[in-house]
Amino acid sequence: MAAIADMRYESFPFKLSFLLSGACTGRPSFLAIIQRIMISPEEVEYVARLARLRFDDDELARLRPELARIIEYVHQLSELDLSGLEPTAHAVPLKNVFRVDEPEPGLAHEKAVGPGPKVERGQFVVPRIG
Amino acid sequence: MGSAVDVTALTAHQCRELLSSGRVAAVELTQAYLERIAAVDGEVKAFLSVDGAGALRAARAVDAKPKGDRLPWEGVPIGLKDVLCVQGMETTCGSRILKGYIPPYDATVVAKLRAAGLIFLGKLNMDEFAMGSSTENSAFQTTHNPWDLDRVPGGSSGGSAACVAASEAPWALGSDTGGSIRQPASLCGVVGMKPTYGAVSRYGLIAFASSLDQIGPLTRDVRDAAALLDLVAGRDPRDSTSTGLTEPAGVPARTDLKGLRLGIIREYLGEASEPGVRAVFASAVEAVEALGGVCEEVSLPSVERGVAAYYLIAPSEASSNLARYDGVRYGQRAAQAEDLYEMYVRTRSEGFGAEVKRRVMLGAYALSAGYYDAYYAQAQRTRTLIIKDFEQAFARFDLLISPTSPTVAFKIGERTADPLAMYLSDLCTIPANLAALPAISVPAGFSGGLPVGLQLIGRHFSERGLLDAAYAVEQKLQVKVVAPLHAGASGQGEGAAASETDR
Repeated sequence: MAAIADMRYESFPFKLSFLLSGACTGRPSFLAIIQRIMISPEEVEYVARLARLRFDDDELARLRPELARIIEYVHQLSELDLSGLEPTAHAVPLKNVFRVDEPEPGLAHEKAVGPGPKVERGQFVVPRIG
Repeated sequence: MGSAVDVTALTAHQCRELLSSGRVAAVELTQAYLERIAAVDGEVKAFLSVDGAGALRAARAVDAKPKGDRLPWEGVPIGLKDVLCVQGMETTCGSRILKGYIPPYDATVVAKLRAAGLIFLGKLNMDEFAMGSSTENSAFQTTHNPWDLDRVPGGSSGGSAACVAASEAPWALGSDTGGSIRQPASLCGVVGMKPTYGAVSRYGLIAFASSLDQIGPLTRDVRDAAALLDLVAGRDPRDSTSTGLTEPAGVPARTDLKGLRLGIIREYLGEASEPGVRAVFASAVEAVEALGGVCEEVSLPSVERGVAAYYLIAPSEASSNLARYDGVRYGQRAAQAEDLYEMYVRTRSEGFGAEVKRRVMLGAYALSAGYYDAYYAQAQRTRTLIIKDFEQAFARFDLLISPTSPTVAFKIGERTADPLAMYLSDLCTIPANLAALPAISVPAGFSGGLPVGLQLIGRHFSERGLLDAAYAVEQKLQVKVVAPLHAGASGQGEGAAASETDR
């Protein structure tokens, strides 16, 4: 599913609408203490496309304020001065995890494709691409 | 009914003794648990599927073996959270998108338990893809708390915790990404442990947030937790992040806490927890001091940012991990899509529930270009800050303690309308995941008849010492009330919780 794996690299065409104490600021400021965050329908639609999801109008009406409230909450991290700290991806650092490169039997082909919703001649069948 | 064995409140090591002494056959024991499940699970709804035939077949094979040839835990039944792949057994992860998925292989922990001769009773309910704190996000059913059927069991391993509390299995495996073992253990009055990240292989554990997920035990007592941890721990070439334990947990036997310094995490005191939880925690601290432990408050300012960091890191990892559910290789596929893109979108939109979609959206948003540094990278730096706070605390203290959950079990439906309120259920448990530390919840008492757990957090790979200390606390507190489930054979717990244990 290369399309989804690549989604991080698509550029984001919209700006978050930040309302700082009622007054619009021109660009996102991550130093502000209290921010009301709004997410436009276009932004939700854009992210949904990245995530290969679709929402109907009722779902969107619920989702937008929910996402805004969660993002507002996590936005508190912008108050922290974290300069000089490295980001942690894994909290138990491991280096050079090697194994002996010896061939061994893997999952048999027919077992591996077994759970597929549509399989023919040992291959996954999908609808027309593009 | 008419089973020879009363399984009410039976521990796994008691099961083992019954089997090894020859007083009970493996088939009788398995049959007794299947009968218990049949009697109470209509109300508790802990199991998504019960494999009675498979369990009895495995039990008969144990009985056919001469006693001298059996492994120590052979014939002891267990329940498995539905996040674990079991060859030939439907594994849904609580999601419609995996309905009907029969894994072609065993998770490493499942293979280990199979090799040890344990009997798999069935698969346990959970929040969809382990995202939730109540099991209300399961696509199939909500599990009910055996202490009060109107309340949630916690989550996401709510099925595992409820099944142990309701004596439907002597023990169970769960998984913990932000508290998903410890919080339900606390709410259901059982022991739950999240090991150090890497102690247990994640191979065959359906991935939620790969840098946080760990498999661990939910049990009736601390000794069972140590035994189950030893059964499943170990380095696994199939999970390159796994390291195993540095020493086995063994059989905890410590009876005091002399010489141990315990830090009480200040940020979780006061208004952070409800009054009933605070009262039980205060009496647990007294018990720790009576055991000779030296308690002192310690501040870890960054843990208050844990929930915010977690709700960026975990959804980001999830949005990537859940990209694999595309209707091609396993699970459900939406019908009648004319092209591949449409098939992806329909499959995912029909297959995922609301909370999973919310988190995938949040993660895709946080990782998208333009916001990556502001959100995801900032959350990972916060994670570094939390790790540093723990390092400083562990320079002064051997263990850190706090309540496991800020509240007792809440009412079903109470928090479903407010995702953020649900997220705050994991306030006290999330930091241990972010810092990869081992942490355990042990029953500490009751508030209004509902269980309250005490959380102990240790240094990396200090499982043995952590379990030893938890054992000492458990023996001192003697919280041994049975969930008052009226369908139970014995009925001994009826009303006991409220009368005996409110302090």
